[in-house]
Amino acid sequence: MEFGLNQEQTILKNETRRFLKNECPIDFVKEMIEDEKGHSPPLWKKMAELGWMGLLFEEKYGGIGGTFLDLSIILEEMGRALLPGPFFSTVILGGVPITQGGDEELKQRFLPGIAKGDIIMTMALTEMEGSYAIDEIKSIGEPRSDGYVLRGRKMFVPYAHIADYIICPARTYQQGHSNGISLFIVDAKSETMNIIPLISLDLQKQFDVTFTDVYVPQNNLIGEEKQGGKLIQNVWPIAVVGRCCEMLGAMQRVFEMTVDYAQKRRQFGRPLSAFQVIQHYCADMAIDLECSKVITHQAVWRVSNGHPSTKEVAMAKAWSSDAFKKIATTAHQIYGAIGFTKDQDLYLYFRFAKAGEITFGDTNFHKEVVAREMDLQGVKALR
Amino acid sequence: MDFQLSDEQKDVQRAAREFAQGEFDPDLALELDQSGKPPESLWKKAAQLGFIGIHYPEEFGGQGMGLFESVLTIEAFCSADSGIGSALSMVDIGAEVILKFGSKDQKERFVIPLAKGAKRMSIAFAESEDGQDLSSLSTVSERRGNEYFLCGEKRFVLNATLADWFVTLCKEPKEGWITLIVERDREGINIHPIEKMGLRMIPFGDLDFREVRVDIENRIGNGGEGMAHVHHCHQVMGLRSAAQALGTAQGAFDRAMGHAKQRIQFGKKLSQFQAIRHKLADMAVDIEVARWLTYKSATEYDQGKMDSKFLSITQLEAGRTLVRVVDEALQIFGGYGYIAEQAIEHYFRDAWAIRVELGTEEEEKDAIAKIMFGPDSIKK
Amino acid sequence: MFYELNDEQNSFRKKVREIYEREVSPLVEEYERKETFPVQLFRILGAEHLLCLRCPKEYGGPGLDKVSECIAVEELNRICVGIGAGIMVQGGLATDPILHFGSEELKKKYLSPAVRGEKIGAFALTEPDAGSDASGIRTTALKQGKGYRLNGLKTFITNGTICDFVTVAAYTDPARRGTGINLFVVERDDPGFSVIKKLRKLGNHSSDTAELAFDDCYVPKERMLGEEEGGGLGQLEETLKSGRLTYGARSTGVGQAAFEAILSYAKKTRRQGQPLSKSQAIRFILAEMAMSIEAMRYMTYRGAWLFDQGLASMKDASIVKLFCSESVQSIVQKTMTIQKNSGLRMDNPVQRFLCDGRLSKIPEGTSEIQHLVIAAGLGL
Repeated sequence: MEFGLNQEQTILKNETRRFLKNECPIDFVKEMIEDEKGHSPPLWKKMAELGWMGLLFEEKYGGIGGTFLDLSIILEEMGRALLPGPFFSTVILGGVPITQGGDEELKQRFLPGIAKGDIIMTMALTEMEGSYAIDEIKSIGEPRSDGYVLRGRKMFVPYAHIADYIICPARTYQQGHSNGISLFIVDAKSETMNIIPLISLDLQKQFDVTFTDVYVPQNNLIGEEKQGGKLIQNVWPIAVVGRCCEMLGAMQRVFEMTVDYAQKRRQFGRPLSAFQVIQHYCADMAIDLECSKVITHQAVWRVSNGHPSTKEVAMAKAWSSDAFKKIATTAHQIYGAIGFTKDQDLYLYFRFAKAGEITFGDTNFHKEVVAREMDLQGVKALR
Repeated sequence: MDFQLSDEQKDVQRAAREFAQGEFDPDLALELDQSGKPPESLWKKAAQLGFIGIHYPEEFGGQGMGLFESVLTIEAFCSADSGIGSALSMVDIGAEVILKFGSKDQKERFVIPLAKGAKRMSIAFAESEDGQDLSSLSTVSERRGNEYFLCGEKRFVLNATLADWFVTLCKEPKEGWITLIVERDREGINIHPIEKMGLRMIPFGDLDFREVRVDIENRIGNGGEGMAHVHHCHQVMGLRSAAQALGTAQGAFDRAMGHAKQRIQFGKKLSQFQAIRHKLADMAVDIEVARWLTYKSATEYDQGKMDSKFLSITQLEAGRTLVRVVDEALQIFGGYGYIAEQAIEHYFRDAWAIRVELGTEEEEKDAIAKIMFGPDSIKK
Repeated sequence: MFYELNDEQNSFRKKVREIYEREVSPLVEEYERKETFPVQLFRILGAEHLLCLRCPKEYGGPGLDKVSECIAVEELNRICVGIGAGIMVQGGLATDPILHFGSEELKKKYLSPAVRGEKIGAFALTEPDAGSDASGIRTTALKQGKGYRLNGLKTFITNGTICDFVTVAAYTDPARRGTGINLFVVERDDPGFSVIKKLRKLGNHSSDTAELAFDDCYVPKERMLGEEEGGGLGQLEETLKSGRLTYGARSTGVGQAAFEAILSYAKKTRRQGQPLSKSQAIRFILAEMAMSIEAMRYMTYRGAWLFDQGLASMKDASIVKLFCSESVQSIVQKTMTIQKNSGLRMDNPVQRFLCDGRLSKIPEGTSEIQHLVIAAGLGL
């Protein structure tokens, strides 16, 4: 049993942290929030040069054949730095389904471009009700002689406005079965696609995307018809755990910032950290952090090594969603009123925590998954 | 990173589970809990099978495994029954001090019989209700020639009426803090039993020593080392208590699951009510977190890199999880959970006793904070 | 609207506290240890007009209001929850339905003697397969001659082994689920009625709890509450509402006892060189306990006042029960954890407060059921 990183992994972590400290200071994060694109092409290029985008791809696709564990290290550091931009959506939501479901031609067409940093991707997963249930997907892909025409509306599509391609799950049959879903790679510049920005608490840019008879050529179907459900199910644990890793990195940073603040801020003639209860609040955060670490790393290890992980992934997300909320709340209590203002950076982490809590299923969603995995019959299956 | 048990660890876990689930008779558990008696025959059997002292070196009767394997065993035992499991886990507390600081002779004289299931050992450190508060100790042991003369009082000693030997913390005027192995049958020892509400198979008591003579061969290590011995002992005990907590929580959870899957009310199984499913899911998540904290602590201990702060976090979280899980498990049983015939009833009482072993939340947070902010950081 | 008890109510509180401390306190340790109810208390408290507090004067009762009843309940539970349980069944579930739906004959035969403490009453609804699902009971009361033949099994019945009469719920028309139930008064000597066994419990040791059997037990028609067949559960509505409000007082009482115990302990115990009460973390905990008790007390008395005005809905009563029974858990738990080892002693009341307080989340509607009742009361 081994809980730490090996030497190589430690180097990766340290180098990633150093890079992001230089390239993504907090002022950059704030700048990107105001920026319409929310993404820096020069930084994107540098990340590609470091091999980050292609980390999971085989060498023949321009990648470096790394593992999900390696990626999780980078994601943790990205969360810590609150890195803005479409890395997650491109590499995980875009790259993984293509890798797992695409034929050789498709992979050659997209993966090298992603690895080089030439292609930005995202996925339009949730529909109007905001659920993740494949069963509830209503968007339709109607077959044409040489492809399909897509019709539907999707919500909370990250970085749709700068993506080159949007992966869109749509129903190719008028049935309520999940094997009726197909994944289409849609050109984001299609004329009949309407992309409207959503004002969201999330630090990521989110969009409402309507597909009105948007044409998709046959060879932009990932794999075959009816495979979409399976592809989503396969990318799901990676996305959920990936999100947990980002949250873990951010939680760690919040903890450090708050402990630091407690030692500097003085009231009643001494630093806040001289008060037992403030110390206990800091201890509370330390505890939640260590717990989040073990439960998230377990899920990372399982997913990375191909072990069955449905329950463990759900546990990690259920726990992390709550833990970050608690850490952020405690941090705010220690900071006092100033923490509520934009003078301090804590509000950014609070927003990140909230968005993280909800995306890819909140605590209740994942508790239901845990319950089902423990063989407790539910009234209705979610998928 | 590697989050799985090795084959050898899986074997230990399987063997411990088979023994516990096969042999810990539920009726016996109820009977022993009510009468406050220890599980004698199960103790002997556990020793025969090598479970007692699984982490002692082979030359002293153990299996030569690590504290991790001890943790797995305790978890399996307490899962099967909180009372019997805890009793079997605590027959040898204090052995840690001899194993780390004692002489070869002492290990042969004391550790081997413990592994054989022939003798029990306990510790006598605290002199107040608070097991961790060592600030006002007054037990002294004056050295005269080749003997120590021990005088003082020790409180809340586990297995006070059962242990054959007590590793006792005392102060010698010239040598400083020392630990002595005190044999129970020495003249001048008085044991005052105290009845407990939980972990009743591990009786408590206060000890008082009046000019008790202890041979020099029974001093562990050197003068001035006493506090280091206590610290080490508390660390190992803390980890093993976390394992007790984990096993007890797991056992409570398993029983609640079983009940929820078969109890029918309003025409449905309890497990079909969302509120109950979520309770069980919550419990499962909490146990999983406590499990990995405990396993990580144990692994680090065996690798020689035990982190005090992490151990405090482990103890605190294990204690919190234990109480929360057992409480919810009892709630799932409804009225039945309150009745003494159900195992969950004594799991509840045992949980509170295990909780005390783990230290209060406030103490553990103080310990964590001391490491984070420095020892004198609290200002008046 | 009132925010303070008036002079009369404060005097009443003082008076009952004196009586309970004189008559009840000396019995607590012994009867808790023997796990038996001190039956002599019925006559003693009956003589003090402290039984069946809301029974009208025309039946010999004290004729007090709900607020006063809650004062008495709070004071009694502060001393002993177990004894409180037996006394409250006497004035609540056992006799309330007789008061509201029984004939004058029945009131003379059972209610008035209960007020005087000459007869002990019990109430039997719960069955092994019907806890939360009250409509799921299986006991039947089928017509036989000029009466009914009762068949069935009841469990968790307070005062079960000591009662002179028991108010029993049974189906006169099993085909009408929920509505085909009636209440009957069964006497201890009725052939076919038997006490199967006494149940041992986690807490409330001095409360007598039993399993009862009805085996072709004949009950004359006159002992049915009401004239019509059916509607029995509806007859319990007001009593259930009243009982749920009373739980607020029960929880407040035991919470108050725990709080007083821990305040005193914190002031006199020293740890790490200072009184516990000076530790900031402990001060925070004590502050939160004080806040909780205030809130519980306010909720309870407001609920009682609403009841007296005829304005209390079932939702109001459920809110009081849920809030108070949940809030008290933290108080009794923290009292235990602060006291550590000494909290585990059987001769220390804090472990009794924990185990007694634990029950409150279960009877007269588990916390889970209370949630559903409140949600239903919101029109959802």
